[in-house]
Amino acid sequence: MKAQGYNYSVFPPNDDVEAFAAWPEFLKAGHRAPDPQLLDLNSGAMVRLTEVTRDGLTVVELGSLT
Amino acid sequence: MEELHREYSPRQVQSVFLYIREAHPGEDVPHHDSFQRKLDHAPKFREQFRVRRRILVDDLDGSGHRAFGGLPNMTYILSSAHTVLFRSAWTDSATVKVALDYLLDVQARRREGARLAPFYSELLGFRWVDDAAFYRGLEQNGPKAVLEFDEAKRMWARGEHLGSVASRREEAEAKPS
Repeated sequence: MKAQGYNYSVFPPNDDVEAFAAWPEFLKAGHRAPDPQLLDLNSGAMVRLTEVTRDGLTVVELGSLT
Repeated sequence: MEELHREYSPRQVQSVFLYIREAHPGEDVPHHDSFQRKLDHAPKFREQFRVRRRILVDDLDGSGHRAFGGLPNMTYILSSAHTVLFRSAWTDSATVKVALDYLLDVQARRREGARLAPFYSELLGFRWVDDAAFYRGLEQNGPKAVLEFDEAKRMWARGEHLGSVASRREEAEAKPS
């Protein structure tokens, strides 16, 4: 990730392993979640994640085609 | 996860999907070199996986993704106060279901007047490894995605990544704070 940038064109095996190794100590349960500004694919509007979660329990899955 | 969404939305549980970078870019689904390309890919994802959940697209730099830890397919459950109640390094609907049932039970007991104090706990999850489905995804992205992942697997099998992790950890520890 560091060498090729966030949107790498070639899958970086080392960075992937490092991210998994670091994750257990990152953003644990009980911590306040990040509040990124995101684009709602349906409406095209920009929304803060807090605008979604304030309505109740929210499951947030992160991913892509692969 | 779609089934879980259908099952739990009547119980006031929201589900959203945060679309992030392509983990294994290929010839047919290349890396996101512009926000427009990311926006073009997101509907493909929705159609391919028949996603009915609300899809939120991260910015081009992955600010949201990185802030949540940067792994390719994580799941978090957040409270209405925006606190992390559950997190999982991989998405596994069976594990998420266990967490949701537990958290909904906590809400119900509190409504009934139970005095419940939070405490920290962890769980080692076990997910079903569906290599065939994963490779179908890689193939759809293009032959390059397959080749790169095969090479990564060979590298991991040889343990070559271990040296990299150790050396970068040493570098980080040697840096003055």
